[in-house]
Amino acid sequence: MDFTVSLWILIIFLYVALCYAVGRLAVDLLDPEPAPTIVAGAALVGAALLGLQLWLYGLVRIPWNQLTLLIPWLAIGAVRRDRLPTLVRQERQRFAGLARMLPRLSGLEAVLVAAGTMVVLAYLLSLVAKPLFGFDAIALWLFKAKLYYGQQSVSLQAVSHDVGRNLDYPPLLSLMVASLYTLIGQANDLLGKAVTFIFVLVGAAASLTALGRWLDRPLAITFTFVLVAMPMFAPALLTGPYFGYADYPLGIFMMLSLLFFFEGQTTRRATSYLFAVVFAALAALTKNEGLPLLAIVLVLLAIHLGVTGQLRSPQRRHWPILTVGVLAIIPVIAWRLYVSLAGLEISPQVSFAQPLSQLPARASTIVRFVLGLPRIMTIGSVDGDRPISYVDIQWLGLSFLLSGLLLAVNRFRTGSLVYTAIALQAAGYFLVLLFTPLDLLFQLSTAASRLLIQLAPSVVLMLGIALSPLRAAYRAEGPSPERPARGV
Amino acid sequence: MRNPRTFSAPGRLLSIVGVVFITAWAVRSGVVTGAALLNEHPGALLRGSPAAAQSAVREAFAQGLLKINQRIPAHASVMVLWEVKGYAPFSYAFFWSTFWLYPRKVTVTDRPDDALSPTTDVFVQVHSADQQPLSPAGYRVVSDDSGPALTITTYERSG
Repeated sequence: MDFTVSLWILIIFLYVALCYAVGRLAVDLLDPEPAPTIVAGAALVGAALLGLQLWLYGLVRIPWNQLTLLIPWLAIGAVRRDRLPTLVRQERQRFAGLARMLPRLSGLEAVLVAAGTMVVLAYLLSLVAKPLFGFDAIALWLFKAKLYYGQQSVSLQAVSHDVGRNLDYPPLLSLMVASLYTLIGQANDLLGKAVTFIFVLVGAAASLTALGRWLDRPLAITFTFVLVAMPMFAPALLTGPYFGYADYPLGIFMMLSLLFFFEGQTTRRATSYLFAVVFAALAALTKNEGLPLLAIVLVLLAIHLGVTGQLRSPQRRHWPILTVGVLAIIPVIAWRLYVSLAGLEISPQVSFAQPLSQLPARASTIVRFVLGLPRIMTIGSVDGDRPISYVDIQWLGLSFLLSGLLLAVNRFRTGSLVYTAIALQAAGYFLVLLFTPLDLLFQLSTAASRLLIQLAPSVVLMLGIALSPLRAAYRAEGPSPERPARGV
Repeated sequence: MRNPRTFSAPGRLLSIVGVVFITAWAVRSGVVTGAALLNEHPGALLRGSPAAAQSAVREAFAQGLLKINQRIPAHASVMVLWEVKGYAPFSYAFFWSTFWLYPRKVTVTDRPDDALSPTTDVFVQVHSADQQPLSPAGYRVVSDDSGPALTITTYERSG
């Protein structure tokens, strides 16, 4: 028996634990008593910080190795040693609370939690053990991880003539993989693709934590199960064609940004608004599709803060938070500047030279293609079984429609900004496809299902948000005597 | 947020529809992803080796690159001559070669005249079975992997 897979699984768990520790330290610098949702997102904050740290090291010629990567965090831990016992106690209480909750789950909840856990572990096993063969993973994301790690800097000069590598794509995912390579001391392509696992864990933890507060527990668990086990994610997490791609990570960053946006609206916590901006900025550093999201979040946030009068009374304690928000956007600007100065811009993705008369036909082609995806993309057909579609387009569409109806019928204005953000992002995808100067059918066949993967987590979250006021209404009428309804 | 007690009957009905909908989606997700999961044979994955799984991919060129990667020096300058245009696009040959043979400097061409430069340490000819190997002067054959779709002949500079 070969124990490589078991060892690599252990390495990924250690990587997640390290990212969590780094993220938790960073969050503690901002907010000594963070909301549980922020703690749930801490591992991704840590993973992103380690990646960005390498970028900075490359600029100032600090070598990339375990020592240099970890020393700043050990130093922060040493300086804040007075806080460490409190942090450890908080974490112990958190995990003890989770452990105490497990035996109290109802039968259905226990089945969903057990099935969800099995699916998550199966994703990890597949991400570690299965081969790497996706085009974009090999041509773009994991190649750049290896290149950055090999050069010990984020420079694309060596490949500046390889236009097919989409050199303007941002570096965060490749840097996160490079930070894993730095920690293990070698570039390991097959293990590198398993970095995606941290997005699965954080996405599930944040969904369970947030929806557990906005809905009741069984419903929060059901939503989180859908978010974990949605068949649409199988190519990115289980079967392999999209292993090492950036679409699922981008989708989770987008969902986290919108989750914190809504949490900020309902609690007016400055750190929730901050993390809405931070995760939108991380989305923009993951893939170019994150750029419109960042713009949408900033504009909607400004409108929201302005309308609710929160801009008129900035408090002194909010300045550090505002500073971090600005700092989060700096790497995005820095990357765009680098791309521009190094001449790495790829040909325009949008052209208004299309004759107007062709637009209806092109729009119809896009809609028909997307609606036809379930017929094209199937699993279970290899052994002659009846093919099963893994594209949840009908479910996503119905879910978004239902969310809109819930918001409209209940005049739930708080939830409408997140809905607007998702709708604008989806409209942006549609317009880019409508006006692309490239071959439309080729673009659709290579990108349509992945664009849906990017939107899917946010669409699921949106339905949870849309249901939240009514679930609150049922709760207000009194919990059931047998099993009190409460958050996770 | 509105007072939760003031929601209308349609609002409450839609809420129930929402709960039923997400429950149905959960069932659908469990069934489809569960079937896909079992189809992946997790026990075999756990017992196997990632390297062995990678070398078993059904693409002959990808398999060949993994073998070449083991056989040639880590910092060799590599030239790949791609003569099987019908097998896969040139971009495939380029991205796969530069990825799996990294950190070596890899040049990929589909023109035999460009194939060799004085600085080339390793020459990889990817051709169909009915084509003769080039056997360039000054190079010795390191390996010759033949398959039904293509043959990969690898040469290393002698001496």
